[in-house]
Amino acid sequence: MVAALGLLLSPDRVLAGSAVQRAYDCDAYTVDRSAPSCVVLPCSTEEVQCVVRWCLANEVPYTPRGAGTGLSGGALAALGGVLVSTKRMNAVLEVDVPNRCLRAQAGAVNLHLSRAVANDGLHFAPDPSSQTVSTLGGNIAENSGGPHTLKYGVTVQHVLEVTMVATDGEVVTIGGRVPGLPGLDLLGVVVGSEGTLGIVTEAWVRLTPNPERVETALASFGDTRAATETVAAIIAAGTIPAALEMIDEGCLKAVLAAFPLDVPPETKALLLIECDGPAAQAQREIAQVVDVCAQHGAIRVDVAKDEKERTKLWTARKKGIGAMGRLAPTIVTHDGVIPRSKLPVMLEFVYAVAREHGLGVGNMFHAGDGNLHPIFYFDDREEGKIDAVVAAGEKVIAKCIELGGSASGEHGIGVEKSELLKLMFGPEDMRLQRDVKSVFHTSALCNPCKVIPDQKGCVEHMRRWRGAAN
Amino acid sequence: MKNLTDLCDALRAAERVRIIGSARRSAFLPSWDGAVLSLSSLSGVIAHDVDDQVVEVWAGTSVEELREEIGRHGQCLPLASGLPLVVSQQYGTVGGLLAMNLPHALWAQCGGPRDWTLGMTVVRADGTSAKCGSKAVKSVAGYDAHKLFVGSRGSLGAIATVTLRTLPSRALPRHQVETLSSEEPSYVARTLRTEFESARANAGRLVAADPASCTLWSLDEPILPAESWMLGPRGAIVRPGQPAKLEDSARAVFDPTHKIAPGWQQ
Repeated sequence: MVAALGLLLSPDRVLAGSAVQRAYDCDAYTVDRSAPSCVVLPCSTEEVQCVVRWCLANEVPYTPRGAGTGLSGGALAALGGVLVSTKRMNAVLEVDVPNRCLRAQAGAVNLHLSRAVANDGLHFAPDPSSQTVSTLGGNIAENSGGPHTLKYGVTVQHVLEVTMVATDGEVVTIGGRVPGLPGLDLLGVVVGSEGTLGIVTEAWVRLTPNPERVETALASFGDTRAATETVAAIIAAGTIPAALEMIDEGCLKAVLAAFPLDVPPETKALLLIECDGPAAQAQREIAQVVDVCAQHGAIRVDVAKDEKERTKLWTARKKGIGAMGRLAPTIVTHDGVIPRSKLPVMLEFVYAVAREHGLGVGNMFHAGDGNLHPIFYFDDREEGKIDAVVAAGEKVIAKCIELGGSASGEHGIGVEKSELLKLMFGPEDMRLQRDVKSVFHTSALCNPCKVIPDQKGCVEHMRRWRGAAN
Repeated sequence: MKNLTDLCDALRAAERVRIIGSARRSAFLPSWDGAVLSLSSLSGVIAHDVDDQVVEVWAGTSVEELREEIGRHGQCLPLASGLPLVVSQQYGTVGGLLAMNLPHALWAQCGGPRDWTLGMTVVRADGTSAKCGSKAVKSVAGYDAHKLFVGSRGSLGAIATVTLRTLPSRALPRHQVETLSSEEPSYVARTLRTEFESARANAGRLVAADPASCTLWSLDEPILPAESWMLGPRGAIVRPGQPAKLEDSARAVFDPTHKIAPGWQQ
């Protein structure tokens, strides 16, 4: 296999061996692992097509992978085979400032898209916390969100056209540079399909003008419930902030140890709130937000004075997950969504589940969207801990669904949640989803065992890794 | 037709039928003089979660009625008022708004119906119903079947219920549409920003123009620059790209017996 693929690409762009297999056996969802036979590093759509055609002809499973920051095992080579890394496909191919769009390869890093047009006063709006490393292709696969989703929408709203190597090995272009295309919204289905309908190799994305003014506030609360209630109150008051993030006590310890923020010692929860737009509007909105926070019992609300202070606040939020490593050797981040008015109930439920299973928990999440990210921290060398984490996660997601929410807000189903999807959707609903997938004539070899794991071997895989986790 | 079961029965029993709402925009669909299945009797708000700014309605609900209902709670849909017919003045049903997915006056500011649709119940050509999406404002659980139904023009099945995001009325942005005539436009076209002014100059008798979303509504067929798309009378579509193969595949999967959306093969 390695020799054959080496002839197709070049030998130095086919990686194999035990170190490679170990390095690529999982993404940021480390609970499930499965090693690929080899990793290929194509540089272009044509090279991806060559690899896919080879896999189809030789009946070898293949799985696309961006930066591997995914949190549901989406980049896992579940049945082994070829892992198609987009890391060499990182070029910004074309920038069209007057039409506010750019074309880039799938492996381009999210933040590099914004950097490419920074001098033109534009940016690529989706900003997942992983944006310094995560790739455009990965963002498209997962329909990634981020803090600014609240106002600017998720990835699908910022992708105009994709070039994809379909599962029959053909290259197709879906969508167009002028949005709102009449006809079926196939682009809307491909974005968020977790790389199961083909391998997206290039995309035209929409660029957003930078706001004239950005105002960022940090509100400290002595009580978690007061903070969650404030979230609903801010939105209900008619302001849609650009971002509305929450950090609870469990995360605060770690975040404050890593990033010295000046907050009152009795703080139990923080809200990070951003308003942007024309100067007058941003200032009016942030003033409203500060009022609502004060009315709901904030101990202190500070508005960032300059860009430096703003950056400090956002660094604490976006790098906060890493800081959780100070609390325990292992962390598992979950992802669920609820209607935002249910936040107070839901957060109390998360604390109770963590207590019941003897796990530490912190929450750092997109409160304005009702998108929860409970972070369980533990020592995976202790017996039974992984089981406890899996069980706790499933309880949390089941509760999200019960409250009218969703099994995933932005991390995807991957291999992690395929069973949980059935809590949300009945047999007819699942048939509808299978039919949507079959529109794309998907091959069983393309990214098997993700979302709807009905390929041969997936059950065995699931048994193996759930078993291995014990 | 009073409930979901009635709709399922009606679709199961139908031989060849076009699914319609109020049929106000049927000028933009292929001609059809056969049987129709109107959803306008399946109407009413199912649930309005005021605090969460989410509303679930039957697809046959009139858009105006829904706007009035949620307006009482200080909320709105991201649609402008008081513009020429196809732009917004008199909408038909919620299901029709989604199924037709026509440009509207606040597209640049608020996006299209896909962006506010959180979930749906649909009825398939074989008379089975299925739900997709959720009530959460953000969800990546499974394949987004509901996105495929937005803009499907009744060709994949009937939209029975819809869950929509609402907007605080005070947050509704202003539109930039220039209205030049009160006639009903026959053509709608959208262009790249750089092509908008020349397309506008070549659009013949204009009804309205939106420089924000680069949309033109006209009485005459516009001369289109490259990469633009256009909708015209009797379902005429001009657009770049998108492989017909995949659209045919979708129709084959969702309507294998060519029962619904007749007239499309013309």
